[in-house]
Amino acid sequence: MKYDLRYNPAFATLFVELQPGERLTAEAGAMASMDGSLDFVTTFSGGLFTALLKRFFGGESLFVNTFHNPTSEPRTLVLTQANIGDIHHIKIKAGESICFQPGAYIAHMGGVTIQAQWAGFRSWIAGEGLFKLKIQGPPQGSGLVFFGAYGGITERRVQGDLIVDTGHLVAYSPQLKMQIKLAGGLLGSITSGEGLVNRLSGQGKIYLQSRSIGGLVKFLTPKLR
Amino acid sequence: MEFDLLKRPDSTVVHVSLSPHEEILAEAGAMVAMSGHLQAETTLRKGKGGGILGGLKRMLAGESIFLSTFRSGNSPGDLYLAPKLMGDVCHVGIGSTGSALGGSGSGLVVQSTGYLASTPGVVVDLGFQGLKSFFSGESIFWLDISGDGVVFLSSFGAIYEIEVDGSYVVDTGHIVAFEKTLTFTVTKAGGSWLNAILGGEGLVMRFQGHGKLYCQTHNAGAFGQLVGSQLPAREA
Amino acid sequence: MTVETYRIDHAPAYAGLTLQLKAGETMVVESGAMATMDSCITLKSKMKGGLLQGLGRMLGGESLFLSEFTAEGRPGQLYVCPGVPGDIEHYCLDGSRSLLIQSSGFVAARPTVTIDTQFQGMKGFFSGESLFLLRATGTGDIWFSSFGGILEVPVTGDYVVDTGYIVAFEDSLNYSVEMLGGLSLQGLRTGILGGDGLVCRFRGQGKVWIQTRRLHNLINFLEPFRPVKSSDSLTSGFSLLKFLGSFFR
Repeated sequence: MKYDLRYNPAFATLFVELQPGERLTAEAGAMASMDGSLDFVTTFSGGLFTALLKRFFGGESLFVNTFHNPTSEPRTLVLTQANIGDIHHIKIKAGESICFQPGAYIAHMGGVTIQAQWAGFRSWIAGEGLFKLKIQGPPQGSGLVFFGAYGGITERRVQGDLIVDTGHLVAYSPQLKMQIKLAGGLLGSITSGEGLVNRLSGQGKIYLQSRSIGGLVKFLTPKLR
Repeated sequence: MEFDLLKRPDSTVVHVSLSPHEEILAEAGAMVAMSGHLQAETTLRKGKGGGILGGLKRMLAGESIFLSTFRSGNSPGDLYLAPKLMGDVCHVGIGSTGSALGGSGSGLVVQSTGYLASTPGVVVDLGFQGLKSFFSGESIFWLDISGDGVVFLSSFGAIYEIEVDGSYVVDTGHIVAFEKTLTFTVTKAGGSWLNAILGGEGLVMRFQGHGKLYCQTHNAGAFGQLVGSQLPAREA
Repeated sequence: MTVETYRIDHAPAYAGLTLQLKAGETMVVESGAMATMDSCITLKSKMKGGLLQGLGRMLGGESLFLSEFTAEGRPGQLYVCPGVPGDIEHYCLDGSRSLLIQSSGFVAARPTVTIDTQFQGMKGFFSGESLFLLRATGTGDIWFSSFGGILEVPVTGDYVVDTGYIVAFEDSLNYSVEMLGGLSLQGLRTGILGGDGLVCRFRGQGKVWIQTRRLHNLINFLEPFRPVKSSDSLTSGFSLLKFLGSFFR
């Protein structure tokens, strides 16, 4: 498969060229346009029970589409996300894994498994859903995962402690410990507008987005009728 | 008249430089800034055809558009035009201007929110026969662009061009404009209705033949739903 | 302030501002804009115009809440992101002139800059009541953001800008707000913000920063997607059906 990520970071879009016989799985609704001879099959993502869990609590879509090229020539497919923002790809090798916030997953290829994992009540209170998505590498070799965000994506290494506003976290290494707390004491949090923050500790990688839907909603709410 | 597209692809504005006695037509509300002496006039353009009842029907169906004309008068002037949503703008030549710019010059069918501005020689007609707007919940209608000049299209997201040679499928929320040389059908994506409803791809337009397609990378309805559903409730 | 002490990335659509604070340094930041901060940074919130006045204006939709972030004991990094997609611009006040900024555009400033929100004479500058002008005086760095891209326009004569697109301007300019009849939409459906042809005419010499998108358009666009207040069981029933139906999206 050949792919091209264009229009980063504002309207990152995945332009894919599927080779004959190749398959690519993407979340439902991700297709913007495609060559007329490609076909696709809709399935529950991760099996019915996982799919329901994800939908009810994780905010992920219930369905995924697997696109297939049945012709003898490469065909193009354009994939996008409901968010407007950046798209990154991660190569996941056997034994590696990464966690996504709800809504971040776009597409994958190459035998990676996607599971819904319990995220804890605090995560739910913080508005991040009861479940998070854990992507695990294939039994051997490596797979590719595409995820998107609202805003530009910045990759950061955590070594020790970092305080992150929950709305800006997109993806993170599963071994990082999270502690959800108020930003500055009760009154401080309300008046400062910072609300709940996440204190990350340990060693690992995180991906941040430079905007958050929550931030946009907070910004617009006082201006509405 | 000269123009320049700035801040592409996410917050594109068109910077237009008018010579004396020139004018440009734009969707109302598109003016960002302009030289102090430019004259502006806004009118309501309604769909044609069918007599008074036809006009009324189109108005009720949402087929009406406010257009502003900007005139330079005796001295040159400049202005900035911007679309309503985050996204890109591209220019397409129509008629002999189109061929001169290296394109086909073919007339275009443009989704109503995709029209930003055009030079005076371009004819903007509301409503395109043979394509009803059945995109549920969206009051989208189509503009028939013909004549001679340049039309500026705007998109939600970036604009990408597809040169159709055979068949090509586009999700209905991602179409900005297409050349009239293409034939199309509105259909469900994939092989089954179940796929269409559950797969989230919904309705798509399948284009056949030869011609250019202008698509946008993002779906305004999907983004509107993502953000709007989290905003406080409004009065019915 | 040297360039290494601040960095703007993901511009122009999703600009984020990274500020490097020295030990003991304080920065004034728009409340709610913090994305990440090193754990040595503490937050103290401050409301412009006093506590009660701040709350009062919050109800009226007009408010500016500022937070003070201080790096305690050691240097720390602060990553600040505005609420809307857009660009961030840096300006250095040198005392010779003030900067007038649209209220939702304030991002951060050094404590040596004075932000005046009780700025008289500019009521009705923007259509709708929730936007107003701030005046920044004093010396030091200030950062402001836009909705969309930022264009810096040096004005040397007569220039007209739709007020919804104004980000900031130097007060060396003469400015007056007008209603341009030729731009207003007659017979318009009510409930739409803007469309009244409100422009600001600038004369003289100075810089104006304009943004390439207007908030009112985004607000009007999102309006039909907002949930509707339901006051009876029938609509509650519909909401339940819609809720169930949303699984198939």
